[in-house]
Amino acid sequence: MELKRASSAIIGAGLAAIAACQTAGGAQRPAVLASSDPETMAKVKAVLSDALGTARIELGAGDPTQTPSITVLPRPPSAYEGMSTAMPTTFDIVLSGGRCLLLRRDTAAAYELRGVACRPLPR
Amino acid sequence: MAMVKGGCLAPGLVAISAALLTTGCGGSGGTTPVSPPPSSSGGPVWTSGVYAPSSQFKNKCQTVRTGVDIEGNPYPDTQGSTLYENFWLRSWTHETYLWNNEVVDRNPANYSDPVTYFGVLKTTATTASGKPKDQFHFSLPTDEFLKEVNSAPSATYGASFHVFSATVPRDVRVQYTEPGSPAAQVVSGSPNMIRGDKILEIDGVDAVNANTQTEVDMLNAGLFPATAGETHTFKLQDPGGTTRTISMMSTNLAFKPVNRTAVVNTSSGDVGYILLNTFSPYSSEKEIADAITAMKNAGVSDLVIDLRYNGGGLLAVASELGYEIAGAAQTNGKVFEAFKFNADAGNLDPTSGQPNQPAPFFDTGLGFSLANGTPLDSLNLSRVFILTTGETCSASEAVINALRGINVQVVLVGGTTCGKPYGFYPQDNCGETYFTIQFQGVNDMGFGDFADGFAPANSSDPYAVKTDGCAVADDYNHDLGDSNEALLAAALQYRQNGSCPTPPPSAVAVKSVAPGALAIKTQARPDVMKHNLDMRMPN
Repeated sequence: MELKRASSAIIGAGLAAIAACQTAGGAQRPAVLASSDPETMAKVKAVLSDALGTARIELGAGDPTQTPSITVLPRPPSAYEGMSTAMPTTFDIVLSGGRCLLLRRDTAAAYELRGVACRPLPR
Repeated sequence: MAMVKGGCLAPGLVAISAALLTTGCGGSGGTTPVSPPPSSSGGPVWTSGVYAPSSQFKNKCQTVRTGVDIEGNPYPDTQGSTLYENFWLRSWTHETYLWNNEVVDRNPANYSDPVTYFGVLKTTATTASGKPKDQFHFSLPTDEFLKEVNSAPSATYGASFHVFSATVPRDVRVQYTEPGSPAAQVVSGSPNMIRGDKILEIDGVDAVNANTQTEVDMLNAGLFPATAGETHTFKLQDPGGTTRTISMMSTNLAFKPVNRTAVVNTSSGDVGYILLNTFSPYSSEKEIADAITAMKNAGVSDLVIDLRYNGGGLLAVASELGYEIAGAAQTNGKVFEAFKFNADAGNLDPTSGQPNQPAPFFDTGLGFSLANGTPLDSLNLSRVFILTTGETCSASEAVINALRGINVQVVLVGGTTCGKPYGFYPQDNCGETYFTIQFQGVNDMGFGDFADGFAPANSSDPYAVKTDGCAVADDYNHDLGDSNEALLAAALQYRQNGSCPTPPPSAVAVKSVAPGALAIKTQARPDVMKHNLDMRMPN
């Protein structure tokens, strides 16, 4: 699994594929965002935009200050697509070594949420 | 027959849309190009049966776009040529088209227009009924495509119209209205519009017989308002024959996926009814889940899903509906839909290069409009009644097929469905977005051969896949959800004693629109909230 910054630069490796796992490098804990104010969400969207390689980021249902994941909606199906396989992309929010990370669930790639505060998910 | 939410009526046979329909739905079709071929100097050279990877030709454009698209993404174009664009189409078709071994390999250098070349990159085979196997092959400019998928709700009265005849004598009826919309607004004790209303006049113009361009322009302007805030006057004849005149102001509105629900009390238990008109918008996930929860809380013993005007949409949401009908015991470990790609793809999805993974019956929300992981309620039914017409298409048919694939009894009431077990991934190249069929959906039993649709057992349709149920013509004399409405009434009768109305009404008692007699506006937002345009093609 790769750990990436918003710039897509790989800055680390070896983190667990899922949020609840632990690695030799330290524990990962499921986390939630400390805030969902516009400034925070703008930073989160910027990271997601880079992660997905698309400028258009529309978040799906759910409150990332309450649940430890964020979903990004696909482009809406056009009127011509009666059989659309489009699915949201899900990222798990974890804390690892004091850093707040987004782990893309389908690829296990990790992206650091720099400047975004997270808190551990209450047990 | 045509159903429109944006469109044009023609005076006689003006301008309409054989061309638009071809462009939008049928492809450019099979004609031999006559213009001179592009120069191939320095470009790729065609060798019959030899295909370089499409990636070698991608985004090498005759006309290079610069800047960013309306979603903010930079255009990927580099300088190339028409020849490169054609070679990309050829290789991409070979790699991803479902019926790639049925495409004649033609020299790209002989075509001066990529859209024309794309038009011949398809099978010419037919189904058992004689209709083209691939009637879903088309393209449109990418800026139009992006504008459409990113557009906001458009101006409407909140009524869906059905055009039985686009030419004189015209016959345009109200198909249904959107709750809370101007069309459904109650004025002087009755709604502005009701299902079955025939439009006699618009803004004083005879909607049945007027036949000049000016008059038709006025009819179109009134029927399909360009902007919110327009007020137009309609003279209507309701199903009982009473006429009345109303005025309505258009508003920007998105049609809801779940239009209405009802619980029908019967001597043998309550029956749930859900009018579900689309799987397309994200909101469909939550609206369907809420409707199922309401049915569960009401303790219904059977369910009627009205998909008669549902052209499909998000397959994942359709899968959730399958779970919500059948429940965990019947769906656990089962496939909702597996994807059959061309034989060359092996175990990969050739459009992504990733392993080909089937869609399960999803038992939780996926994040479209329900938080990811939200458990879904289910009714745990071993049978379901589904109301259908020829507008029941794609993901709607996938629900029928998937439930049959796990031995849930599907009782169809209505007409033959459209017959589209196929899907595609729209792909931009050099400013044109191409739609080519790339997969066939099959159920847990591996079945997906319903290109001529599903039909009730007593239907006279010789080609459709027969299921339990009753052939019944769509009924514009009663509102949808009314237990006297013909399809719902037949479902209730079948449930009660296993019989169908006799004699079986013809499956579809509507008049066809003459080719070219109806124009569907492309600038008025194609109805993302409702219909898959694939099915609107001339038969």
